[in-house]
Amino acid sequence: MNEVTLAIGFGLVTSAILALAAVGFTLQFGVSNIFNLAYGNVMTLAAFAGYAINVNAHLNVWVSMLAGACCGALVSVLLNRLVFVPFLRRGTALFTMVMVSLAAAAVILNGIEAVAGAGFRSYERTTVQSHHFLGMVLTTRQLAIIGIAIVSLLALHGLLHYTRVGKAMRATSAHAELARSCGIATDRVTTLAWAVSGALCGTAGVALALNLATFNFVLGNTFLLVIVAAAVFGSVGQPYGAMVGALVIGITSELAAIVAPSLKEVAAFTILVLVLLVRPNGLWRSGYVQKMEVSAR
Amino acid sequence: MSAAYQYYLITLLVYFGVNTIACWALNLQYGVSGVLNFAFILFQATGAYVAGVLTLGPSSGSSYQQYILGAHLPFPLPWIAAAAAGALLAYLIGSFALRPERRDYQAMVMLVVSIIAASLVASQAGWFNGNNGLASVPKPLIASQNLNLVESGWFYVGLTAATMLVVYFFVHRITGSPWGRRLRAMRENPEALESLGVNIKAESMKVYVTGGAMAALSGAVLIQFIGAWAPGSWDTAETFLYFTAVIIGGSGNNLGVMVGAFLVLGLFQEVLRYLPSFSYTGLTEAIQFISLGLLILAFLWWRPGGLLPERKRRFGPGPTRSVDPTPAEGGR
Repeated sequence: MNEVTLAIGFGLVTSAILALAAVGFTLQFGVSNIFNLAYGNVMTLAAFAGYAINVNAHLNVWVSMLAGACCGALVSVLLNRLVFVPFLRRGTALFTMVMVSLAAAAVILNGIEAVAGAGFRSYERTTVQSHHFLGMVLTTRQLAIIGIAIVSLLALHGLLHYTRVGKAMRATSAHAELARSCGIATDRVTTLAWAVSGALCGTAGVALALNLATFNFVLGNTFLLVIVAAAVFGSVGQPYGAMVGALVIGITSELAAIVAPSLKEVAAFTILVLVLLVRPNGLWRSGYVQKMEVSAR
Repeated sequence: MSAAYQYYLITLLVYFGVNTIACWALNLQYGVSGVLNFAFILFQATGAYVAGVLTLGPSSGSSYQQYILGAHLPFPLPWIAAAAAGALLAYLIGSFALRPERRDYQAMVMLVVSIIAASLVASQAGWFNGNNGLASVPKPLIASQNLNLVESGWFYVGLTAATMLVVYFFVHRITGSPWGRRLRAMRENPEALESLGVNIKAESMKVYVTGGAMAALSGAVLIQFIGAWAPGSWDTAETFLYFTAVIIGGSGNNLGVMVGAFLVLGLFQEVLRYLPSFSYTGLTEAIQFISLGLLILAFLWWRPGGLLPERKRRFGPGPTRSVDPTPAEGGR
């Protein structure tokens, strides 16, 4: 057992949470063509919802994760229907939409602070049982988080590729107008996509809060940085790119933390810059898809 | 007027000048050209740090504060160096952050850059004294005069006003020039402009560098007045404040963003200061940001042009029509 394998172990947990979050983020970008900067704060909301279930109602943390997922889905759908869709319908320019989402993010972040205060909270602790294998030491909760991430992402893969509604989502993501003219109810598909991505977002929020042991209102807002890095790394709008980005950034940042903890974020950032220099639109996106999106604007 | 009130007024005026210069810089990038500089505050911080270390003198290496590049430069040089450093940093960041084609995509990269830079500067105590930041930066041209605090304050207000005038002249010339027209075209429809043979990437870079230099200058003016600068003064929430001022004032309109700087960054903040503080600290700030966020949404919905919207530009009949009074038979 040495530092490197230990760090890879922690990196896998970070990557699992990051993958859940980044895939949700990228899915929203795919169907609605906007960056949802409030994403991290919706994660925090879900973490607080889970906290209420776990600490106030004394239910299992996995029940609270389910509650977090529901909360994330609900808030995301409401956010999309009440804020983003009206602005998009008006034909607001895409670079103005970033301001819309930034404003929404500020409202949610400070709303949480105003209601919950800035104090730190933590979920109910259980007796920690660690598992040793391949030089990694992980707690039961961490293993469960990895398992949940894998199962959720496999389920998403199934949804996108083996169901009609998944196909409709991919079509909406590739070219919304064309999809609409083929008879796809893009409004409903978009709402469903926001619900699915919101559920991923909520799950990631509770998982992050569990993994960090303590959290407060900035939980998701701080994490947004790595989510954006992972999503941009793997080309925003591409779920599989986001998974690769999450894995690369999650593990390298934990490895960099061996050298110095402050390098954690710098490592993520350096990778991002290198990828942007070689492939300006991220790892995944080919020139053809990019051209289509430009014309779709 | 008592000295305390005078000094309060001086502080408000200098802040107004600094914020206006910064808003003009952001307006040139966001309002005029549509370049979403989410790392905006980083450039102001760069200017502040560079101007700070170039006036503080060589670092004594004491435990009080440590920094790089320490020097005692005479007055205008630190400000010029600050602007140059802002331009250089903008060029470096722009060289990768402006590479993606979509503007919002670029904004995300800049957001990441800004957060990372703040945490890096805070953790590296040797660069700009880490988390504690620089302190006791002297005001320029003070040693040569024999002025008390209030008099030197009014002198600084004059200096800020002069800088504002220079910057206003500069941005006014830019937005009125053919280049300004090209920048507005880039904001409205980059693909169409590209089809006319304009290099969008180069234009974005030019405006990014120009705005970066102006933002850095605003930081230099600010640090020499308040005398201190730490990572706490430049987190991303500050970038949000500047964007709010530009949007509410009237993006694309230089006078509009000045009004925005006055209302959002001046009046609004001061009014909050006089509200009775209730509950715990931080609640007032939270409510401030909630109201600013709602204000942005309200403005983007009901009045996207801001309080003083950008003037619709009308162009008279083109030279071809006036030069040629008798059009060819069946020409139209």
